[in-house]
Amino acid sequence: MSVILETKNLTKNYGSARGLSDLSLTLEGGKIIGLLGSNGSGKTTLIKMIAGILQPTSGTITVNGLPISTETKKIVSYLPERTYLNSWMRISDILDYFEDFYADFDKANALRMLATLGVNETAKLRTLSKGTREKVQLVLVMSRKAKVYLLDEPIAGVDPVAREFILETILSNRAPDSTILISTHLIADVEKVLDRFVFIRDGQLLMMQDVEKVKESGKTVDELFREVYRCL
Amino acid sequence: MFIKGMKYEFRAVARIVLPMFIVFLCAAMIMSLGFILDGRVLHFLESNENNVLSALAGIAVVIFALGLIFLLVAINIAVSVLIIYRFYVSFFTDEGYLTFTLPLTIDCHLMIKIFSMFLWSLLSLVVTFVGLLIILGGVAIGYTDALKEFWTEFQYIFEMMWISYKTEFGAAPLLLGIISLIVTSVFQSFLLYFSIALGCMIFKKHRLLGAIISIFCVDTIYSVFASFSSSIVTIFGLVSGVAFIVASVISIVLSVIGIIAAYCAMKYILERKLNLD
Repeated sequence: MSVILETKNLTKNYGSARGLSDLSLTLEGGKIIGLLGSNGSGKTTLIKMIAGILQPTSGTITVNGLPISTETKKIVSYLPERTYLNSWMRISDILDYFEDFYADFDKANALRMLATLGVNETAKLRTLSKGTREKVQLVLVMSRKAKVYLLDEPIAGVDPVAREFILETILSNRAPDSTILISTHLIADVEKVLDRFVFIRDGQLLMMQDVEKVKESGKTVDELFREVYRCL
Repeated sequence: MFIKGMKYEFRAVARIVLPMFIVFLCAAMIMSLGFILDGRVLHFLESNENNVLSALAGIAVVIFALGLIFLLVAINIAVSVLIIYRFYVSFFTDEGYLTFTLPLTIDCHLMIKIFSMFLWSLLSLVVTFVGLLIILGGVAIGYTDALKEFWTEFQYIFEMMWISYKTEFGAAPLLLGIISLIVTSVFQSFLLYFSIALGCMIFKKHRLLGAIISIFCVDTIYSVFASFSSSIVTIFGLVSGVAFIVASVISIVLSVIGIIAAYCAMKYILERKLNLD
């Protein structure tokens, strides 16, 4: 598989605090990769920079060989950790919005998923519960046939049943050969779907490995995570 | 992409502004009706020498007129505030997460906001004009004689103004003055957008407050500069038509440079300094 995402000496400073520190990372396409780390480790910072809403202090990022630009935004589908949709819009308006701006948006698939969720497309977003709004957002993001999906804490703050739904939605709707980068600190819940994982701490790369290799050693990723972080 | 962006931007503003326009036009109709009734009653009372009631009817005219001014000011301020607020919300709040992950260039984003501002300002002017026509219709029916007097006065004032502006250069100073006014207004709008972008870039944790402070600071600097230059223009303008033409041309050129500079600065901030935390 070819390289889909590459960062070189990526650094992000927030005043005197450091979000990312000289992070160099190469990710191959077609895999589900867990971006794992404790709160404040730099997961969200990295994802936001790949999405293009945060500017690096230094270093470079390329997606599919291209620097962050309009071209990369065409192939990157981003789920932030917050709701970014206009609450006054109807679901149908939001679907049209995505269809208008993203050439890879599959509206029929989105409608199908919304029907499974029991969400009426004429409903206004503000009339939905927080949980349902988050699910709608996930449906929109996963209905794109993107090359890269950036999912920032998709299962944080939701109940176990919802977690199942979210993971199932992610797995069953991803475009073939696409790469999914899931950031989370809830490792036990996601490790079953991961092909590979990246541990980061204080904005630095700690470890990157295939999940299969960890399993071969008789451990789970969650156990390894605890072990690695306890030692530091 | 620009057309699509405009479509959604138009909708976002329209959902608030269009009802306001409708309310304004309805109020203008009611006011117009009020003027018709008031004018007729006033005429009747005056012809019957009923001083108390005619005074009351006169007060009603003043109240109508004040209401009209209030409505006009309110609607124009509301439209301006909403357009500025849209710029802030779609770029610097949670909505920015969607805005800046769309496959649109920064130029396209900025153009959408700028054209939306022009479009709504123009629509606001048209609605204000239509509202005034409706009200004027009421005044014309209610106070036929008074309106005739007013029209005569207005024609006289306009002629006087025309004579004072009409120099050996014909209508050129007036024309340049109007162009200068339009270009300066465009520059002020760009400056406002730039102020918001600047404030949000500096005050990352309190963007709204930062935007307000920045608007205040940039506006103060601009006002000082504008008052100084307009004083010079006024002085020279009074002295000769040539000076007025030169001053207007300088004002236009400076405003155009200002527009380009403000645009480039906004583009730089959004492209290189955008940090949505």
